[in-house]
Amino acid sequence: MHHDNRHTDNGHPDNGHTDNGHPGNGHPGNGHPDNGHAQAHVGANWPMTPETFAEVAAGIQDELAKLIVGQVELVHDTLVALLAGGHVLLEGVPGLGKTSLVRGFGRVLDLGFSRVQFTPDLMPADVTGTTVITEDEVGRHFDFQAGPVFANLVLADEVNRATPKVQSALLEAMQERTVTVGGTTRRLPEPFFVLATQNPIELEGTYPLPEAQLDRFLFKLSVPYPSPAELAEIARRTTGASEPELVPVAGGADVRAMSALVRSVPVADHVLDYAVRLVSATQPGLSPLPELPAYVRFGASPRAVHALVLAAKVRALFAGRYNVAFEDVSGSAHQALRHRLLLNFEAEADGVTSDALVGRLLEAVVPDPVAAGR
Amino acid sequence: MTPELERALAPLRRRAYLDNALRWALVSLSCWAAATALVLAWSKLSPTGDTGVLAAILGVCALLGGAGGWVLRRPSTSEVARVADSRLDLKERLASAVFFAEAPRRVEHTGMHYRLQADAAQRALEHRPGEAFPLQRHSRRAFAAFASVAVLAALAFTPNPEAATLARRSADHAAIAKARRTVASAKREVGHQHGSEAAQAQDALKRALAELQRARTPLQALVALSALESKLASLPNFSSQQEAAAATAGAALAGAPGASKLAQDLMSGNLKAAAEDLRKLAQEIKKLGSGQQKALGKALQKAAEQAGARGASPQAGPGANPGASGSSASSQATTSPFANELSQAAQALKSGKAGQAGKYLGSAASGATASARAASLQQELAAAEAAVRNAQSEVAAQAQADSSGHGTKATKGAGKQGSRRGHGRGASSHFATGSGRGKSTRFGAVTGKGTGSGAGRGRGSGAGESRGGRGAGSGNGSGTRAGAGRPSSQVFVGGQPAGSQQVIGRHLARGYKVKTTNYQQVLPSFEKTALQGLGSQVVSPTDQNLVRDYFSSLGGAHRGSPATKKG
Repeated sequence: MHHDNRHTDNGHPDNGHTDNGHPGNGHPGNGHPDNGHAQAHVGANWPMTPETFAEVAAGIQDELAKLIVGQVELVHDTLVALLAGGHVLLEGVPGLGKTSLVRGFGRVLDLGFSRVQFTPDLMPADVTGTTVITEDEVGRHFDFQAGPVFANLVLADEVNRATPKVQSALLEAMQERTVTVGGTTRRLPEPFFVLATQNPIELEGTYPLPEAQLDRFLFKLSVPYPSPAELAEIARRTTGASEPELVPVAGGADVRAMSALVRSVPVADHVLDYAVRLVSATQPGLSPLPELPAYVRFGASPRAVHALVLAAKVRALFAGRYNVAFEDVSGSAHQALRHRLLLNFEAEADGVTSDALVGRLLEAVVPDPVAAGR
Repeated sequence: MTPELERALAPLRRRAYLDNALRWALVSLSCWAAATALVLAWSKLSPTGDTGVLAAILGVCALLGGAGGWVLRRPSTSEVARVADSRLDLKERLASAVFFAEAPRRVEHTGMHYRLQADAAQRALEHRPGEAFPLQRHSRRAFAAFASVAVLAALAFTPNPEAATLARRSADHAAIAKARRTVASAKREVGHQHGSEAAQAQDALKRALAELQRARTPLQALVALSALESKLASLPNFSSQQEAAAATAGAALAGAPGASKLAQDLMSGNLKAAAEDLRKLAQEIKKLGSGQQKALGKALQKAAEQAGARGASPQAGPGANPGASGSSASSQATTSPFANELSQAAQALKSGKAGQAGKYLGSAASGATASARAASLQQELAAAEAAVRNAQSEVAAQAQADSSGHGTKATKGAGKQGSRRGHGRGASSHFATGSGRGKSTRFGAVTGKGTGSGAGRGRGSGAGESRGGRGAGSGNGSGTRAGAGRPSSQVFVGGQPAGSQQVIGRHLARGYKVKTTNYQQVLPSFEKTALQGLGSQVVSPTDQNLVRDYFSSLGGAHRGSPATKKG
């Protein structure tokens, strides 16, 4: 009855179909989707080294730039989250290219893509899939019909419009990377990346994500409004005779290899200490900022350190380095911390945003006290 | 750690150590200069001695502190790498490489850390060590050190208004120390002697030495020396009478057969040799002819008479017991034992009993030996007394200089000691008195407050006689000195009875914050000290009368004060 609520962006209500024209990727119903291995040759970037990592990452961004006008930071941060193995919550008004971004990633990375439009009447099974009775020559039997979550890249559009029950189903899949239906647990494809969006306006009738579920997103990114020059470029590209054709730069295997390489980047203790101090400083009782306790009810959870360090490792490799620097940590602080600070009414009344507080924290927490002391 | 990384770190580490050394050197220099400048500034507000020693101590402390700081705060390799990362914008490459090189357990075996070390070494070698640890970073510290040293130099070359006070204190200490040394030396000399006189002298010297150890002002030292001088002077002195008697006896024996050397030794006061001569004469008297014996007897009789006349007082003459004194001495015969022995020897010779005469002469020889020992003690005592007097003069001059607030140089005008050591038994006084002009309170001599110039004149004379001859000396001295006086730590003011809160007659310069005391509270002790001092021979009789008259004139005032009456 709500088949229009969950569809891929190619217009087919079939959950298994992706827009890359390779229905085999994430083929629904087989229960063992392996979308990556078929495209492992796409990038031909084996073995993955820091140099090839930087090269592939730059290629992905360059290719996406053909489709996405501006939004360089957004693309960069989304790619960071993808390679760090995390999920992203995008916040921005409609029409800013969120869907194009995810679709572009799907094409450039040659990954399976699906999109779910969240509405209040959406059911969990519409996301995860369900067991249906099918009849063939053998007879009637139950088959699992996979939901849109069984894709490499999932766009959960306006995630705050669905009921908490549906939100929980999606977020559990994000966390566990498995789906259990009818007593059977099925693994989600690797890589698995959810890009959820929410609209900061028209909040009536929405179900804001609880803090515990927000915490499962690696990054929360704000989609900025394009500049006039970018708007003009968007108009030129979208009103012309042809749309830009994206070429796959890497495949699922490449992404997995890149993610594995990310984990091998060493982090020295003094850099790790900076990340820890930064996260600890968000706690009202431990913050060096005197005004923070007045505005923050709860600081960032330990997942914030995990997010900061993983993102910093990706940024280090992007920069062609073999180590994590302080600027890698601080460079991801806004994205990793802004949705993890639970502000109180005082902050809302004073117009204090979590981004402003994180900015103040970055000024207050000295990256390297030893170097600063000498 | 790979060799490349080690090669990149070594110059950075050396440079960091140098940088750290420079840092601590500048800090130490600044601290030392600032602390020494404070000491110097304080010494210009309040008289502070030994500023040089304090500066040296502070310098040593600063040096030790700097060295300690350098050793304790010497950067580790990790710290060097972190600082280099920060200043060379190496994006934590070097510190991370060092970290994983020093903690191999933390390395995941992906080969990434080898790439990291190579990358870090390559990036670090692109820079000079001086870029990571530039000397310019110490410009503030260098400026602070320079400023501190400049302030210190300015203070060092600025005249010290407290110099006069310091000089006075220094002179006080020098005078007291010299007096102490003199007394200690005298005590050592007298310590070799035996007998009750020597014991009494030792006791007095010991007591005086203890008081001098406690003395903080020349006045206190003067009191101790005056008491000592009085004590030494009060000890009985027989040696001069004994020597005089021996000399007259020797003159009588001159020309007597077999006694020419005896006569010569007696006249020269060499009693020890005279004793030997007497023993020899006693042995050889039998070898003389009867005529010679009679002539010798006559000479001995004459010598006995003259020695007896000269040494008529108790214990006088060679052979008297120098240890006896007091009532026991007064019970002795009025003629000296030496004269008696000579007389009895003369009588024996007259009656032809040469052997008996020899025995008497032997007894006389024993007496002469004892007298020789006594004379030695007396010489030591005389030397000690002379030395004490000399010290007393110098301390008195210093005390007077302090009290007048003017530069009296008493020592310069000190008269030459009356005779060489052991001969200055005669009176000897020499100290300069100074008179100055300038504003002062009534007791300006005590407060020393005043400005102006002072002049001092010294007059000294000494006379003495001994067996070696007579000595006399006199000296004149004068000294002038101009300069501002400085109040002592306690200022005495007049005009109000004790117990009054109102203080008038204050003539202190602005800025002096010293305790003021009504002079009437201290006048009795002043009078006591002054009158005690009069007992010594330092003050001439004329001046003694002046002092007594002065205190007598004040007697009505201070004895009649309410405080005194109350007490």
